[in-house]
This record gives sequence, C-alpha cells and structure tokens, in this order.
Amino acid sequence: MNIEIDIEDSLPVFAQLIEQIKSAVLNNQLKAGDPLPSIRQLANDLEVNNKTVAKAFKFLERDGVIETKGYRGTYIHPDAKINSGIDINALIHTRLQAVVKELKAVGATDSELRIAFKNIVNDN
Amino acid sequence: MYSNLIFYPIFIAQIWLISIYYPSIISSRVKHVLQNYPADEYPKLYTHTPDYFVKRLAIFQFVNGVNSVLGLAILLAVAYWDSQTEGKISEAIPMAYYIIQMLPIALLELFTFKELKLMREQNDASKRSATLTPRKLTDYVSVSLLASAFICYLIFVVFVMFVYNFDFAIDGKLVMNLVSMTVMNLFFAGIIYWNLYGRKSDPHQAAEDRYKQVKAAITGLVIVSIVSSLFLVAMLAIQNYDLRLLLPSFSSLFVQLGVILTIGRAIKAMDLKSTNFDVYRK
Repeated sequence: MNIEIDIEDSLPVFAQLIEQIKSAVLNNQLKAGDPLPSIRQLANDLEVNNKTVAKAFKFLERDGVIETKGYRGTYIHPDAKINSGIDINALIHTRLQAVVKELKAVGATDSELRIAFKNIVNDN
Repeated sequence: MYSNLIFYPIFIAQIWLISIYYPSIISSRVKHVLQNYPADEYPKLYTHTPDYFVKRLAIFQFVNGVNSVLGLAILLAVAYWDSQTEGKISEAIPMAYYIIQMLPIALLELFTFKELKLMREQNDASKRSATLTPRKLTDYVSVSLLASAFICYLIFVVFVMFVYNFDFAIDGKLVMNLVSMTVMNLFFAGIIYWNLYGRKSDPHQAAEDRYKQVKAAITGLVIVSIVSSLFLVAMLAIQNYDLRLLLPSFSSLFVQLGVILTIGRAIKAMDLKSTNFDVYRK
C-alpha cells in the first residue's frame, strides 16, 4: 500500500505519517505482523529527513501501533487496530480536564496547578 | 599465428558492439523520446530545451564514431605488427581500448546523473508518495543467483590461493587478486544498497518503472560479479596451462560479455513501449 504526504499541508509531515498509518490499520490495509519499511527507505522515498520518519515511528510505537523487533525491522503491533482507535491527545485532554475541575472545586488556583503540573512532568 | 587470427574477428566484434551497436540503440531511444514525447506535452521530462539534448546526442554519436575509427586503426596496427614479428598480441590492447570505448557511456551516465539532479531541483510538487512495503534484495534478484555469485567468489578465492601456493605476502599476487576482487564486490554491494534504499533519482518516475530499473541494475551487477570471478579463474588457468596466446581474445570476449550483461540487459529491461510517460505530463 502507498502513503502520500503534502509538505505544504499545515499538518506536520510526521503527524501526516501517523494519521495515515493509523488509518491504514483501521481500514485493514495494514494488518498485525505486517512489516514496515525502514526509516531510511521511507524517508528517502518521501524525500524528507530521517528524523521526521523516526519521530512518527516513535509516536506510533508509543501508541502501540507498531513494534520494533531489533534488526529484524518494524512491524504492525498485534493490538494495532484497537490502539489506533485510541486518540492519546483526546485521552489526555479528558483526564486532565476532570482532575483540574476537581482541584479547582477545592480552591486550587491556576498558577498552583501550572507549577504542580510542571513539577510532576519534570519528576517523571 | 593461429591464436592471433582468432583475435581479429573478436576485436572487430568488440568495436561493433560497444562503439556502434549499443550507441546506435541508445541514440535511437533518445530520438524516439524526443519525437514522441514533446516538451510542450511532457514538460516534466525536459530540464532543458529539446535542442540541448539533440546537441549532446550529436556529441555522443561523434565520440563513438571516433572510437570506431580508432578501433580499426588499432586493428590495422596490430595486424601490421603481427605480420612483421608474429609475436604475441598483448591482452592489454582490448582492455585499454575497452576503457576508451566506455568513456562516452561513462559521460552519458554522468550527464544523466546531473540532469536527474536538476529534475529533482525543478520538481515543485508538494505531494510525495511512498510504498509502505519494505524493499528486500530478494524482491529484485533470485536467491539462487545471489548464491551463485557467492559460490563463484569462493571458487575464485580457493583457486587463486592454490595457484599462488598460499603465499600471503602483502605485495604478492595472491593478496592483490583477493583484494581487487573483494573491493570490486564491495563496490557492487554499495551500488546495490544505493539502488535499493537510496533516494529516487527521477522524482516523477512511476513505481513500476523504478522497480524494473532497480531490478535490471541489481541483477546486472550480480551477473557481472559471477562473470568476473569465473573470468579471473579462467585467466589464471590459461596462464598456468600455457595458453597465454589466447589471453587477448579472451579479454575481448570478457568485456563484450560484460557490456551485454549490463548495458544490453538494462536497455532490454527498460523497454520504452512499456515505460509510463504520463507521469511527465503537465
């Protein structure tokens, strides 16, 4: 299957890659265990920097859509279809919104929340 | 001398094949493209005006013409020398002439490389596509052919070690032969890797045409590797069995075979009728 990017699109190239690979998994164009091209091959074919493709692969791996098996290459994750349906950004937004609402209800200020959030992110 | 008589028709074949036959095929292909795919309909195919390519083609044809005349002059000189001395013709003659013959082809390759670079720079398309299928060497060349190349290389290594009595002196012939063959194969491996995973040289080329081009290049290199190993084994055998008089004919046949397997195969694989030129339209 083919992937197409538009370098003049407002959406960054790495995000276009993530979106299209997830969409291909959801549409059964890519199935669990299917091999993916190497970062170098994909970057050269799309005439983009290796780091751009590496960034997309890193996010896809974090989201459980792909898995890297050392020198054997990169493959579609066994749970890719379920994981592709999960929108991490939406999940973060919903969870944080609930926590912020709860803390504001007990009197926490915006600056206290920002400082606490920054410290927690830095500690982890 | 009998062995010298064999050399003449073989050398004429070398002149014809490399300086007349293949250059004429290349020229007719370029003319076919210029006539059937004009710049106003296929602008992406042209980095310069058509006249620019016509002039370059004329230079290419002229240099090959000069090479053909030079070849005949060499042949006449060798025949004259042979009639006077009846000595052994040097195997360096077909090899040195082959290098001269390959100069216009090498310049053509360089010209194509520069034109494709210009084509990439002129490409203003914002949309780019790629396949999500990994490319593997075995998609382009059979395992049996790869195994044959490896086996032939091993045969060469073992043979050369026996011929030179395992004399691993750093400046000896054994080491020199082993190093040159290994370096050549590593060079081929580098070109194969570049073909497989490197940047698309033609930004507009259709995927199926790219596949055909890469397949022709890789298969050609693997076959040349096999032929080179076997050729050097045969050369060493000829030297050992006192058949040195056949060396010039053998050298000429080797370079001709190499050209047929690389240039000939590539021309056949990249058939113009099946090439997708629509990708170069406006």
